[in-house]
Amino acid sequence: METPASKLVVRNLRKAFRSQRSEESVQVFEDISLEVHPSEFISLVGPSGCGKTTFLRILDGLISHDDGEILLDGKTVIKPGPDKGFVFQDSSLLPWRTVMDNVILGLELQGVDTREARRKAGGYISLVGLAGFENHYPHELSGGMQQRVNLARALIVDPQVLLMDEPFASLDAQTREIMQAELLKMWNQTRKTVIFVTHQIEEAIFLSDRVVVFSARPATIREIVKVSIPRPRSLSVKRTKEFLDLADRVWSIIQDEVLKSMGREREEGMR
Amino acid sequence: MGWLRQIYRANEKKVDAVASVILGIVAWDIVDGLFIDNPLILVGPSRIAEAFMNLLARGEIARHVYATFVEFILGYLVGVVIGIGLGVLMALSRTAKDILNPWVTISYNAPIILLAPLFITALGVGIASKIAIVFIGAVFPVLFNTYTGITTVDRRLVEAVRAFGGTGRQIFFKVTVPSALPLLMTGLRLSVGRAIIGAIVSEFFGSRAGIGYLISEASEAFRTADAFVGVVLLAIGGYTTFELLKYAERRIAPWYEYRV
Ligand SMILES: Nc1ncnc2c1ncn2[C@@H]1O[C@H](COP(=O)(O)OP(=O)(O)OP(=O)(O)O)[C@@H](O)[C@H]1O
Ligand SMILES: [Mg+2]
Repeated sequence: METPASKLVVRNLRKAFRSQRSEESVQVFEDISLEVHPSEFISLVGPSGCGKTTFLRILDGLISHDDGEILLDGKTVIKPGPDKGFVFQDSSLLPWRTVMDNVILGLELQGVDTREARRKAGGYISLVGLAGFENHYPHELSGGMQQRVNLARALIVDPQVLLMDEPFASLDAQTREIMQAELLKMWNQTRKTVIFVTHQIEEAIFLSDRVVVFSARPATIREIVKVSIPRPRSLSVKRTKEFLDLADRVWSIIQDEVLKSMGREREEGMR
Repeated sequence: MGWLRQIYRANEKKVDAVASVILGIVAWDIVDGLFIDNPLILVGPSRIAEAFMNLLARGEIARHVYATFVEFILGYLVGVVIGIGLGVLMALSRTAKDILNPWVTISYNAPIILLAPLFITALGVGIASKIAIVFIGAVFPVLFNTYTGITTVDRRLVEAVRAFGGTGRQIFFKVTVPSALPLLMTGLRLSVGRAIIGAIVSEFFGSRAGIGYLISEASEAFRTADAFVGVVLLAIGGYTTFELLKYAERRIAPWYEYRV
């Protein structure tokens, strides 16, 4: 049924979190279906708490779902593995390891010989612009540099899909823009399939082929906005009319959802 | 004089600490020599140094230090091994934790050291009773810090390693163990003092050698200076071990103070 053109297929995904103490449960996804093409860059936006992180964790196989199907290259995703690369929001680098030894983590877990892994890591460290910092510890790096290490750590396992959860959220505005441009450059070289979660609408548009807008919880896909701005894109496209119109459109879709979720939170808070 | 000030600035803390100790010793000696000239009430550093040389010449220092060191190191090592073992067990198994917790809590909070005479009655005045008492002093800080280190591992790091396909075993050895290491080192350091007290107190209650024996025997015979030699030896030994472990801690986990 799935066309070979799809890298990743999500079909009728449902997920609820049951709390251990009470019988209450939080329905996160009602019914999500999405097809992602090979080498496609997809961004995921939606109100806070709607389930974006949960979505990525399910795609990676870190947590289970209740119903529906997830296929990567036609195979059902059951657990994490080297076919998926995860880039986390905050520093999830091992603080006792150097840049080099953080980058080789994924290979090491697969049992690749350390010396071979280190040789391979050199290329990825250069790719993310950190050549010369191999022996530094994470606490000796700026936030932007730490996220570059995070990216290299995800790329080195040569994943079929790259899952990125607000990787630039903790960076200052300038560093963030630089990182966006560099991410696109790297993406041009590697052509990975990417699912990129962000809160910033213009970041989503700038990077993506399509922007998926989630509704407030229980989340469904509210709309998928196609971005046809030609590539390669430079940061200056952010000031073109085409770009600003798209941003307006995504913003107006998301606005009702954010208002809805804020209203619900207020109700929940009062209870 | 500019260079002197510069050296001072660069090592301000160390210079201040050394100066403070030297001044204290000198003041102590002056009070001893000029105001309270009674070796029963107060002995000053010069008298202690004299007593030290005497004891050293007779081979007494070596004998006592050796006896206490052996009791300390054996009890301490057993305490460390069992403390780490129980700490890991309690951190990894809920059942083990529920079963052991009441015993650990009671033993930790009760002043077990006061039971030293009973240990000596039960195990004799030989080394076995000493090792047991040192063990009891050393085991708990190691146990608690191991337990805390393992249970407070950063969940984000665990999830990151899991996201890259890490197995439970890999997570334990690549995340849990290294992240528990600094706290474990702290436990090792904190238990040194308690272990030394254990060794000394056990010697008070019955022994033929050791620094505790030296102190109690010298006090009873009104050889105050000799007793002070024992106290000084303890202070030096405790301080050195503590600092060595602190140094090791910084070497092993230089990242620890920067973790977020
Ligand atoms: N392990 C869990 N157990 C119970 N509930 C959870 C768990 N993880 C997430 N949730 C709940 O599921 C919902 C979605 O959370 P999630 O973190 O996926 O949202 P998000 O869209 O990533 O939010 P944000 O934009 O703030 O990062 C939230 O209501 C959250 O409280
Ligand atoms: Mg999130």
